[in-house]
Amino acid sequence: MIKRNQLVLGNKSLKQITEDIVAPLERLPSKGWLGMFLSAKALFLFYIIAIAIVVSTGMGLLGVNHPVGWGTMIITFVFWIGIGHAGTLISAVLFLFRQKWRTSVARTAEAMTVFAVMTAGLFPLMHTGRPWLDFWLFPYPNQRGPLWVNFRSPLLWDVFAVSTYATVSMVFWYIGLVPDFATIRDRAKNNIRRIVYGALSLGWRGTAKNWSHYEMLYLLLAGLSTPLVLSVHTIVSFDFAVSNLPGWHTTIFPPYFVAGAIFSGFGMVVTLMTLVRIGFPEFKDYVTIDHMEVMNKIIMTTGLMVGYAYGSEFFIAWYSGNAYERYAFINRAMGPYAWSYWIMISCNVIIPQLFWFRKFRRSIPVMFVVSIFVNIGMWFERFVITVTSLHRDFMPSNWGMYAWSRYDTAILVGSFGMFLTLFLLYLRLFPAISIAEVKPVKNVGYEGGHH
Amino acid sequence: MSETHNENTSAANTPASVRDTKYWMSLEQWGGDPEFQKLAETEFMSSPLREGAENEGQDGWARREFLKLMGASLAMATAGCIRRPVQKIVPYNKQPEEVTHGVSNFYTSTWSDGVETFGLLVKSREGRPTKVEGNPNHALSKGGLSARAQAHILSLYDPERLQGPKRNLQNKERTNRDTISAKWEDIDAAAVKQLKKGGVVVLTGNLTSPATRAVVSDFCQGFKAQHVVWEPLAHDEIREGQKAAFGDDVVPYYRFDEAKVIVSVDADFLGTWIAPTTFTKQFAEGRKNPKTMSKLVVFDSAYSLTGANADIRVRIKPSQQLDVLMGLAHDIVVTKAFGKYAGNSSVKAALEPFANVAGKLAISKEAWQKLVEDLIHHKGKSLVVAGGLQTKTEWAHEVQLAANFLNAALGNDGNTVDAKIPLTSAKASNKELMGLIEDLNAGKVKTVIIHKTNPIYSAANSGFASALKKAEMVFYTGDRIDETGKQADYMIPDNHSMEAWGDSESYKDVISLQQPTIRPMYDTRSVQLSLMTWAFMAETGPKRLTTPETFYDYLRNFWRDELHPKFGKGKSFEDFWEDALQSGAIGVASLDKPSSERTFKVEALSAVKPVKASGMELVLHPTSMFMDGTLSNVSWLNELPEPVTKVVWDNYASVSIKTAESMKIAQGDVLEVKVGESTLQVPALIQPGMHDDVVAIAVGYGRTAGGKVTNGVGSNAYQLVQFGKAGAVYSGAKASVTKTSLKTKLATTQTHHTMEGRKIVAEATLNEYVKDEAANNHKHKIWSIWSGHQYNGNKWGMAIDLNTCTGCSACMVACQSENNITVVGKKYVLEGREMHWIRIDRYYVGTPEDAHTVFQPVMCQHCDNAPCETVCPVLATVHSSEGLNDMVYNRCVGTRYCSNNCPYKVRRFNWFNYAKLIEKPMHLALNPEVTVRPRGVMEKCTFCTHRIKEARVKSRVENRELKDGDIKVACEQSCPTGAITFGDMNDPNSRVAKIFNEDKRAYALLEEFHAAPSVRYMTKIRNNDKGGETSSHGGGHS
Amino acid sequence: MQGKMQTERPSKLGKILSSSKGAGTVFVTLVCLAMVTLTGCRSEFMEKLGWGSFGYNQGYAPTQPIAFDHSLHVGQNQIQCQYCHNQVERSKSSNIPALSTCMNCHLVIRNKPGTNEPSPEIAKLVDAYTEGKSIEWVKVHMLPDHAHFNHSAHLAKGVNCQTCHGPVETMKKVYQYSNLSMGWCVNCHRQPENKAPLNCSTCHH
Repeated sequence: MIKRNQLVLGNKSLKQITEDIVAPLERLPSKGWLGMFLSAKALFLFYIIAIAIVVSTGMGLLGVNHPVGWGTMIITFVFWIGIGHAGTLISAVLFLFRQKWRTSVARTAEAMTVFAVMTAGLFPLMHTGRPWLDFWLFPYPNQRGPLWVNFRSPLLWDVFAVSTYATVSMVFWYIGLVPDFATIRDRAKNNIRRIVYGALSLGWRGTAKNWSHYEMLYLLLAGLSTPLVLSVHTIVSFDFAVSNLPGWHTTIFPPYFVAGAIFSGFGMVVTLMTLVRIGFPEFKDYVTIDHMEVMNKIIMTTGLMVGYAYGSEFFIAWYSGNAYERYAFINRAMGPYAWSYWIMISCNVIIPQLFWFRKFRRSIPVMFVVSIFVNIGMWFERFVITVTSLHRDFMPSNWGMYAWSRYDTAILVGSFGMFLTLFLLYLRLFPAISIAEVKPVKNVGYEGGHH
Repeated sequence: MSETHNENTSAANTPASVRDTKYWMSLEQWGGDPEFQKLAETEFMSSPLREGAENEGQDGWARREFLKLMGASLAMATAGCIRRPVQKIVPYNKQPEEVTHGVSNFYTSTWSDGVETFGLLVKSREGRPTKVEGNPNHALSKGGLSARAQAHILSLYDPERLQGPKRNLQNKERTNRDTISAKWEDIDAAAVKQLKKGGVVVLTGNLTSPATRAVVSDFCQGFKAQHVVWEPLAHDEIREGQKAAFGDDVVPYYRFDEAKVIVSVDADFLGTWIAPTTFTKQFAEGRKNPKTMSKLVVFDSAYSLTGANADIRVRIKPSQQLDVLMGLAHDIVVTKAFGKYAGNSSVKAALEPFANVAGKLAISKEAWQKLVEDLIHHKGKSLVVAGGLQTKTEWAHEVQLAANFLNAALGNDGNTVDAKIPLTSAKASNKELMGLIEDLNAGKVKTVIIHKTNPIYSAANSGFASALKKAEMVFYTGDRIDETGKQADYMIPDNHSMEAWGDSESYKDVISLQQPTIRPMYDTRSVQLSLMTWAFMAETGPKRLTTPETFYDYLRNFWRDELHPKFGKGKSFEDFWEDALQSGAIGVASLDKPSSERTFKVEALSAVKPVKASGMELVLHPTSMFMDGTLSNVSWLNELPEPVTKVVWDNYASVSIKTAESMKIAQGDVLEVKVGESTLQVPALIQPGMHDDVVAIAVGYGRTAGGKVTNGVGSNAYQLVQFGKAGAVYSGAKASVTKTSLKTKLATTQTHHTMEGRKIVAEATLNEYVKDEAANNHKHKIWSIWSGHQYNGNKWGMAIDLNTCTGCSACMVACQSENNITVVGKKYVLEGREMHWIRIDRYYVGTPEDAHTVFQPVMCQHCDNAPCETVCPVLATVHSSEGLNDMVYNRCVGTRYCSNNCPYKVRRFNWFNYAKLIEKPMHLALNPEVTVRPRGVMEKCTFCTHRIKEARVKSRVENRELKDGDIKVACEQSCPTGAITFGDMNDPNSRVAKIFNEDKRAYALLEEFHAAPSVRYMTKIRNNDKGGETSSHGGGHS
Repeated sequence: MQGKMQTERPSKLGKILSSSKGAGTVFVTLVCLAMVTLTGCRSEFMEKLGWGSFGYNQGYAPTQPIAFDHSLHVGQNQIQCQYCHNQVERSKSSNIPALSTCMNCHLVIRNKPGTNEPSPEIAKLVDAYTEGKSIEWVKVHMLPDHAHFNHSAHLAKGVNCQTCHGPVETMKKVYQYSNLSMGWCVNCHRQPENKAPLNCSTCHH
């Protein structure tokens, strides 16, 4: 059996582990955190205002036009949904595969998932022409005959897919938190904490019965959310694949989207984790370089998958012999939006190749920069798919360009404000590493850990 | 909760009579009512909750629980019911019998645009005109309407119209200091006092109305006044040419339908020349059947609509106009020694200098030879026309002579050219204007009455403005204080043509009657009545002018005395009048009368000498939307793309690609064009198919006081016109073009100009077509796993003949007017947000230098396998049982998925709340049959489903079957060429069904995509003698 | 709703939540409330309860400037609907008669029914007519602008007025008999015997 590095460094006692992990909750916020939080919050408010203006004045404020009917909002929606994938993958799939290393990153990854899906979920609702009528997207008994929704429309599948995913991942995340809430409750110095965390811990007593129920439920939820990891982005990809636009109407989309989603998800996890390690040094012992390396490996792998998808798209376009399809792809690489295509290629395919080298895999600054590039690249992937396919389709007489406006920028940037605000709050209020799960794996990798 | 229960019980206890007025019927009361029981049951069966009902026996819980809980919401319910917008219904006091509330009436009327007259059917709902359609009874327009004629209804509802007479208080410099409202009495008093001083001039544009012409001449007779006629689009060069050639000062009538070969030298007869709609109709007549279609050869110095429809288009510069005509003349009369002038030595001498000009032109020797032979072969059945602003050059006179000579030599005169049917209204003359300016400067003129012309704008360079200041008093009848109005002392607003009686005659003896369709909206007075009043008060002028109390009476008298004897056909006058009103037009016989050939004064030819020219030449031309600049405050026309360039909201200087390259000009760079002393700054448009030495600019733009909409749109190219003793020079002048540092954006509705080798517009040459009717129209083998929809009743379809469609864009305005389509403005057109439901795609074919043009009207194709229908999440766009693709605005949430998935991209989205922007009284022009769309809603062509419904209901009320032609959709109705056919494909005898099933030219757009559209296009046939090399595939400039 | 419960009897709330059925009830309640609000507070059950007309103004019976009594004119005097609403057969919209139509009879008839004392209501009409004014009736049946209903089409199909307008001949004061909801329209169009079109564009264009 190959020798493994320790999952938890510094040979900690159980007490130390608990203290390390709850430390951020029990001390006053650092200046750094405060600074980041306030700026994130400012961005969030700015976001809300931007949305308010757009919704009250009209979609026309954004760059969407004829022929490019979908723009920033849909692009950013798919982007965030994609981000939302790593969490469930790490926590559910890796859990089922008994990957012990997941324990220390799972919690934060899930948190990221939940917040990303929240951020994403808003876009499809906001991007409609009449957001106040969005409830028509849900089937409910009514006095119009009754008039139902169109179950053939991928957009409707989206509504269900995303809402399911949001619910399940949120429940999964919360269940995982319950024992830790109890721990915090018990350590609580003042009443408010005791009451709040008490309520959150749903009267957890830590009895054997509690634990067995908990384990069972956790396993079930893991099983439940694993297919969702695949289904959500598959269905999101149907929004494009089921339509018949050259560049959209592609059978490879579902796997390609899922791979891309995991790719971008891990990119974001690495970005955040490096920051967490800087912000909360005591986590360094739990989120070790090894953890980061493993994730970087995944990034590289999925990056290659995505790269393959790009390639095969082109091949199929040429192989299909369909003039429109061919033109669509030539236009991507050589048309007026070629720059966005090449940004995508370099960020998603070329740059991750750095991770072939162990040195880079294990260097925090390198992985940080790379992960940022991955995020940028993945946003542009959606830009390429959405805008570049729409702006030149069947009839040259309709060809046009996307009319990017400053509201597009506001919406895009603002969404990060929302995400970061939630994430920073989470870091201070919830245990960022699963205490209950780390303790069992503390001895993994120690020789003779048994004495 | 508790309180709601009390409510309920109390409802139960109170006697029914009291409860009648309650906002809801309580259950107990309903109980007895069988009708309700039925209603309830049926409603129940269709209910999503019926499971609850079916297994009620087994499991009452769900339902009872449900009822209880529903009870809870009663509080809410009751609260809600009181809220209701209270609307009032105010019936007539006395019922006017022709008005049926909710049913529109059509009144025959007429409208003239410059010298062209249209027969109108004005659609009026509860006494307000909502749309104008063509009157088939009119002998010339024959039911066709130009885009402008359709759009002129908006000028009636223009919020900026003067609402009453005004007086301009002017300072010493005779510029407007202040404007105050005036009373008609005061104006009349002042006018009469002033008029008595003599030195009166009545300056009008071309008057198409015989009665008005009579009024003016009576008035002039009474006051010893002089009548000067001027407007920028004058046809004086034709009249002078005719005079010099044949001795009669007329603009003749042309028969494009008779002509087999048509040669046009810059005469844009399909777009802007004399009577475009009439000519378009004739032209289409000559081409409907490809087998016998006429051939159109255009020598074009700007890229005109006519050039765009040419079988062979040759780009020239104005200085080559003469070469073309005389060159043809030489090769026909001298080389081929054809015609009765063959032997004539003076002719030979005159033609000699033009012996071999063909080489200098951008046309191949063979094509030129073929043209010469064609002309000879079709002697008497060919037609050579030259004219328009593009030919108003220093050598305009010679050009006309040459054209007339050709027609004479080919024996066309008397056949396709008919001087016996002159254009009676074309009296405008630049010479007269110059004369007037002279008189004004000499102080001979005391009073000027200006009507239907706006010289200070459209003769900007003539010095009229300063001359007019010399007059003591100026009356202006315009509907706003525009450029000329600013210098008038009194604004005496004329009625809008829809508010007044009148008549109109463009070509001799084709007279139509104009009846008012709405009471004058404001305190305006018809100009004729003004003149009559003044004559009456001054007790001068003939009896027939001073006796009648209104112009209506004058009109009737005029018709009784002048027209009834001539056209009455023995009917009593009353019947004659009634018939005229009924049919809208009289006097059609004369058009078909064979005319006699005239002899050409050969000595005149000797004056014709070759033109020496070098460097850039200016070409001024009108556009079919703006013409001379009247109606430019109509937003529809501003957003109507120029048929060839597709530019909206601007005019521009068109230059060739080569010139642009050599001068490093990019699209939108502002150029400074200098002609003589005058300069003009105007953005550049790089235009394929232009001569390299030509810079072409459209007139009619750059109004400064035309109204909110038009002010500042484009720049006024009239400033480049060179006025002289001989008249005005519009084109051919040497122009120096310099590139400035400024840049602007030109808004176009189409940004890509080739078909990228896709089969979008199928095109074949006549030779190919004769060989194989399905030339270049190869069908795809399509295999589908789905059997498709079943259509048991009607199945609506449309066929569009690309061979007769000239791209005139009348349908676009018709659709806009019919369907309440909004205008978005330049900024948003630039962002790709124009709203037209039907658009006319224009593609360039061939080499960029010599680009040919094809047009293709595209609207919703109402696909059987509509991609939009499957993707709408809320079923806002669904398939109807008649093959229509229904768009339900009130259900749409605006995901825009349908638009993304539409391969034709015909769907339009309401990006903002456009409806809110409709300014009163513009809302009166809205069509009550079509919902005004709110913000955030998708919209598109509906195949005028409301018209279908109207026709069906009508047929049902009259209880008969719908028959082919009952339904005329808006675009079809307005199309001057009849290129659009709409009907029922399930009726094998309908016109569409025949085209769908039998016509070999018919093809579906993007057929291989298999959206199975309900629209078929018919291959465009080009009669250009080529064998097979022209293909339907694009390439060329992009 | 739930909030109400809390304020009124909080003790019970605990019990409800504890018992599974209670919890179910609360859940169903919320669902129903959601549905109720979304559907514009309409459902067959509310219909039966008589609370069906929320947002649809069923039974709306405003006071009119002249207390015109249909039961008298149509019921008692047996005047045909089309005598006054004479354009209904040839127009999409039925017309409120012009005053001149009323005056056809009321030139003569000026008294309260069966008495000799002049009717103040008729007086209103006569005054308005002689002054060349009109009467501002309050609209009772109102469809949204995006729904196009055509009277003539329905009459041509043999639908009689009462089907939609109810027993007008018995109404002293006209009220909105049907709720005029889309479901109500469609249910009739759905009946095969009516052979009525079910396309969206039949009403929405």
